[in-house]
Amino acid sequence: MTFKKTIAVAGLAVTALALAGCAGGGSDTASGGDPNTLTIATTSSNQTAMDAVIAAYKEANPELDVTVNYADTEQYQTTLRTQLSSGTAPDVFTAWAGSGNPGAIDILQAAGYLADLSDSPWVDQVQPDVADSLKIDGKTYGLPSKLDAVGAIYNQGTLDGLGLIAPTTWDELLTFCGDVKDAGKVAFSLGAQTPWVTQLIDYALVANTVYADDPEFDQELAAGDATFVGSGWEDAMNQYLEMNEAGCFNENVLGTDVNASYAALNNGDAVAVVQVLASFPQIQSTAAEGTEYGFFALPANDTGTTRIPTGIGVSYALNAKAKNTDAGQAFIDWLGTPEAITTWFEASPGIPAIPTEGVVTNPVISGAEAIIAAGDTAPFPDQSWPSAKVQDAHLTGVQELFSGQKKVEDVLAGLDAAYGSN
Amino acid sequence: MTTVVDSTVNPLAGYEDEERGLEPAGRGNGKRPRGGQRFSRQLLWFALPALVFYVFVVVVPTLRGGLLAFTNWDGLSQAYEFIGIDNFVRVFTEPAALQALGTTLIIAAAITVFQNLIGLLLALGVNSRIKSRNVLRVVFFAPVVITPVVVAYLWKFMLTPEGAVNSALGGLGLGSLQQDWLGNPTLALVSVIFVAVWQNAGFSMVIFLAGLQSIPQELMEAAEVDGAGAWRRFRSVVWPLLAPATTINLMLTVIAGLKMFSEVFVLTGGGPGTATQTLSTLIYKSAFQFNEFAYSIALALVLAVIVAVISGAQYRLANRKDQF
Repeated sequence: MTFKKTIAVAGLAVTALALAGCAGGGSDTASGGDPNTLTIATTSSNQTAMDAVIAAYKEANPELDVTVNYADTEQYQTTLRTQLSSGTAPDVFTAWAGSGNPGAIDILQAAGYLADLSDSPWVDQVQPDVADSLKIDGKTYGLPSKLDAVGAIYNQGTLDGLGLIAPTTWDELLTFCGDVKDAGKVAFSLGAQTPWVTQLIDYALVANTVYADDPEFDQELAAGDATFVGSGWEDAMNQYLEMNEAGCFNENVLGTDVNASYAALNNGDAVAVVQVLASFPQIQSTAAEGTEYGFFALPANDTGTTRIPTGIGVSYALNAKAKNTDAGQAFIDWLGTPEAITTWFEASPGIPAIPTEGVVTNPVISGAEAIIAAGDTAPFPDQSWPSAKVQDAHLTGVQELFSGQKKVEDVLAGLDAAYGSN
Repeated sequence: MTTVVDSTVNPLAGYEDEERGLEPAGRGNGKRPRGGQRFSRQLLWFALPALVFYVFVVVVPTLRGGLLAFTNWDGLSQAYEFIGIDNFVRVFTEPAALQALGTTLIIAAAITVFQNLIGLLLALGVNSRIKSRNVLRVVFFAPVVITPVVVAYLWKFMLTPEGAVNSALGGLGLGSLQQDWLGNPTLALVSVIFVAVWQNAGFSMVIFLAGLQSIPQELMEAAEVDGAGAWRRFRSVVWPLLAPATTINLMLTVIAGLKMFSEVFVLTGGGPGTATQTLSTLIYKSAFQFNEFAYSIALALVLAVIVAVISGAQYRLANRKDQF
């Protein structure tokens, strides 16, 4: 054998080995599925509650090896999609109701990644309107865990110190802003540099300017019978800007991020922040001990009744191609039991989506709960939007309103365009 | 950087010498080149495992991915259809894409000019005989070795309305210059460019410095004897001899500017509005947020072609200039 041939043979042998190695790796992953492992993924905002729930679940199932992964919402959604399309997704994962974001149930189910949960024991305990938003063609694809709502979370100490009370009408709101400003403070701290924050005040306002008169607005949009232009959205955005002109917000809202807005609330520079309830644990975690908070609906008209946007904040879905379907199903079912729900909300305050006795609460949560119980609710607008593009058009649009680059009509036309392009 | 330098060294140089020794007679008969060819064909067998690996891990997925640009794949479904060049038509007609393209070119141009200008000035400074030059070299190069995301977060913190930059301006009695650096659309773009230049000027400096140190001292002395002033010496001696360093620097900064992602992503997220949206951030959004994976691949391919064309043209231009 010549030198050249030896090299050729050696080269081929190494190549064959390398390829065999690749093939071996492939078959290993395909065969996976240890009955004693369970993989879960959720967003960082659920970490405290999920850790507590898992600790309790492990006590009941000591043989089970549970792996949980946490990531911030945006990263989480990106990773989840990649994992799903490459077959490496966890057994149980957080998903969102509707179709408005990349991790939404309608989008994931359409691609065939969600298992049907219709036969689960908790299905009957979910209230019909909540249950509907997790159903596609009559089948349930998610366990609703937590409800969320948008409103003004305020610092009780700051409000009392100014001797003011929470506004209940639009006129009172503008007066409130003026009074707070005269006292050298900010009524609502707004961190509009963080894109998702920019939508919250619009959502709070459209609950009244759109959905109060026209609860079917989402269906009309979908059917092409309504547009954002010329709807109550126009009033909402103009009122948003009016609030800005009335001095309701801090200066430089576009240079202020969400954490800075929490800091202003906690250190007493601002009276309130318009936020989702899901942000409350984080707000509270950075405050001085003993800081007290409350909740009021952001008024948008002078009727005295204010609706708040409400919807499912967190829900859990089962991977249709789960490595361990039985363990996944069992865990989701357990999440729907009173024991798990109590543990969850003890660790992190919120409104359970499945009504449960004996869940601890606090003034912010019970304030929102009272409004929801009175029926003054509206849907989260983005849940019915066909893709995340509409939301993105809204988020960038609000920033452009505040920087003066665009007018209300232009932003709404952009929303219509994004809605129609899907 | 190392690859650029390495490519000028022939990895076969040693072997060729050995062959020359073995077959001295073959040289005159034109056999040597064939011998060299045969030898490099033998070397190919050594490279085969790595090549096969490369083909399966890089080439095939890249081509498959590129092919997806002609489909309507959403990045999630198993099924997709071929839709021809629709995605590419969108890249060149959709206002969002065109705006991102414009912003990308502005950023690339600004970074190329300022990073090289500042890098050159720093290099000239630390190449002089000032006492603290070694300390200064380290200081100017330090930002380069920090992760871009970390640098961007630090600057984001300092550029907030109540941040260090505004406090410093206030402290210096320049309160009138205080700005909402990342909240104003124009200033946000300026800030992004500034942070990138701040971080990478040291990198350009090092390349210029290497170029400067390869300039023979005799040439400078000769020019001095001939009565050339500092500017004249720079213009007629230093600048022409720096051409290779300038070429490398220009190419690297243009490419980095066109690919700009982390600084924008962290500092502004493309905002306020879409004021700092670059092609790279739009690619990210389309792929992972908007369910438009195929479109994002089309955007990425367009970006790749732009990078290739601009840097290729630059390289040819510079090569022509090198032969002064």
